[in-house]
Amino acid sequence: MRGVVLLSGGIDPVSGRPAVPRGEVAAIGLALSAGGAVGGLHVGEGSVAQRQAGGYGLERVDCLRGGGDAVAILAAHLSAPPPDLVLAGSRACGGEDSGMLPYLLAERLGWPLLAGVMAIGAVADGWLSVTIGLPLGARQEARIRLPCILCAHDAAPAPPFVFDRARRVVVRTVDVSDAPPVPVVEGVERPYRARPRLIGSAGPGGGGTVLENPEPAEAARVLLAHLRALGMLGSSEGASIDA
Amino acid sequence: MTGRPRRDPRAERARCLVPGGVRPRLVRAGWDGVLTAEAGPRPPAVVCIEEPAFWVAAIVETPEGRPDRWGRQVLGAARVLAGAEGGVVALVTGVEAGHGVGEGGADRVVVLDIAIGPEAMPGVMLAALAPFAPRHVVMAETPAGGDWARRLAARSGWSIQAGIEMLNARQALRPVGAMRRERAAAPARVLTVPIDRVAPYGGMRREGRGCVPPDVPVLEARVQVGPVVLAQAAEMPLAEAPFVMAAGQGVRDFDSFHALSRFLGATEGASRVVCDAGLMPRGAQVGASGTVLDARCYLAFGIAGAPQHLQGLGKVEHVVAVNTDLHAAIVARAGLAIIADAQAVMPALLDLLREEG
Ligand SMILES: Cc1cc2nc3c(=O)[nH]c(=O)nc-3n(C[C@H](O)[C@H](O)[C@H](O)COP(=O)(O)OP(=O)(O)OC[C@H]3O[C@@H](n4cnc5c(N)ncnc54)[C@H](O)[C@@H]3O)c2cc1C
Ligand SMILES: Nc1ncnc2c1ncn2[C@@H]1O[C@H](COP(=O)(O)O)[C@@H](O)[C@H]1O
Repeated sequence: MRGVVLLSGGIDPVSGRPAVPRGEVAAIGLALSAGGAVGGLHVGEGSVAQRQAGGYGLERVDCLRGGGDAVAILAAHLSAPPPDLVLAGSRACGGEDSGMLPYLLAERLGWPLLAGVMAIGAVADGWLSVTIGLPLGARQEARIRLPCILCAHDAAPAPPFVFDRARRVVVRTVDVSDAPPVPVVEGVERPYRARPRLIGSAGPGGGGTVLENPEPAEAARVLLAHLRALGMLGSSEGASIDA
Repeated sequence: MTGRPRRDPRAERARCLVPGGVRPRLVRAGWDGVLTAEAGPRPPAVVCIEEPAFWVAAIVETPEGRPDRWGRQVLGAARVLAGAEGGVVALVTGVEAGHGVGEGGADRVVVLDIAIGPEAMPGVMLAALAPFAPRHVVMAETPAGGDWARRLAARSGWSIQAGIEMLNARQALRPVGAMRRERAAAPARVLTVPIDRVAPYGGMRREGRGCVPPDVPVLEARVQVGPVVLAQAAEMPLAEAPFVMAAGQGVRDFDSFHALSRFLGATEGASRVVCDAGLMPRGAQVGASGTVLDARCYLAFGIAGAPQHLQGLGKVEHVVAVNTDLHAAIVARAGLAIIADAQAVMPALLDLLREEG
């Protein structure tokens, strides 16, 4: 199977230096677990981050230079000849960071997409089985038709970083021309300011019921009824997931 | 202009004036009654709106049959964008959906089948939204909501602002550039809100009138999703566990405690004092210097609720406490508090569970 990992030119949130975003490291790990040749693809000038991506196990990274709309450039590059599998991170780190690129690409190519992928399984009749990670440790099995785009879950297992591989990775620059311009984003940009989250919104309706000195049996009955009402007990499949 | 009648202080004063007497005497008690009696009937308890100037859509997940905290905040965000003139239509997905959506601020409700797969969802949503032509669509930045929002934006070509941290009717603000920068812009067509960023709607109850859901088209599915498999409580990391049961200094009978956690399917936690004493592993410590929970329910036995401990309950929605002290801080945080000895309640609960099988 031929896999391609999409690499954004990421920066580290703390230091601001080039780094591979966590989700894209997870995507490399998923691609490697699927087996076969795995290459990286980046739209833009290459940076140290692309070499670092090689350290996680990519043999080759193509940088598509020339400027323009990344979705159009990737769609053109991926359609001849198409790989079986395209993997992306949940969102970039250092640009618009909206996580829209894989979705726009899937729409453009007409490929199916699944997000939050934790693990990749086997291929059968052109269907790939994947495991999706949900909150609270829950999992969901799914099947998706190849070729497809998968967005890695940030918590998917990350492959180890090997410095020597980062040194030896082949970074190739491909010039692209006549791509449509980058869509304009409106608004004013400025340094980030942390804003406090809302507080005191926990719990429905504030002050709760207080049961003073009940008989143990009575207390147990009330407790059990309350936990049932919250859906925390029994085999209530799926009902207790805050997805 | 708001629809509120203007106050006339002079008339109000005149109405409070008790007739007779040499000096003017005012009676302000019962003022309300006097006012409303003269100003016509009380306004209805439910706000109904027939033809709003425009619509704003909120997509609300109701895992428990009614909007949870996050869902109410999504409705609150939609109300902010709707202002006084707009109406809010809620698309609700979940089990027994549709309850509590009017209180949350929705004028119309469309219930979508939860079994619609991720691939068909944008098409179904677009069909449901078409009669309303909403100016904005608001969703929660949950795994499912974030996925739908991006699919919807990619399909329709609408602009999107994902993960906004501040919202008012004129602008939305979101972090960009690896959370080192932020951008303020006019609210986009599609918005997603993280938890605890936008306040829930606090105004009068809205009608929440049900509308007919659209037909679900039969697509040639290229994605098949199976059932959700919940994680086993015992091996789940404390930070991810949905249901945590914790022991504090007030617990001495640890055999009952462990038996109970197994019966209830809860992950075990503890206060620092208990971990310090070696009665529970350090990994079980809940609080500022332990684990911050992401649970939905926290059942605390014999825990006082020190500030350092309560910090670990940041996002927990339902707290249940068993404590001998009515004035313990945890009792104030609890939705249900039982003032009793933990050593008596735990065995009683075990007996009850065994009885029920
Ligand atoms: C820097 C710092 C960091 C800290 N970090 C943490 C932290 O991460 N996590 C943490 O938990 N603590 C932390 N603490 C400690 C915290 O301040 C409290 O001391 C601790 O949480 C108290 O634990 P407790 O509620 O179990 O015990 P206590 O304060 O002793 O409370 C016991 C409670 O049990 C009740 N009780 C007694 N007998 C019974 C009975 N038979 N049945 C039912 N109830 C009974 C009592 O009424 C009381 O409310 C920290 C402290 C400091 C200074
Ligand atoms: N310029 C780019 N070149 C290649 N892949 C990209 C680029 N930008 C983003 N991606 C991929 O798309 C994902 C989401 O990016 P974004 O939509 O920019 O948040 C990233 O994790 C990458 O996998």
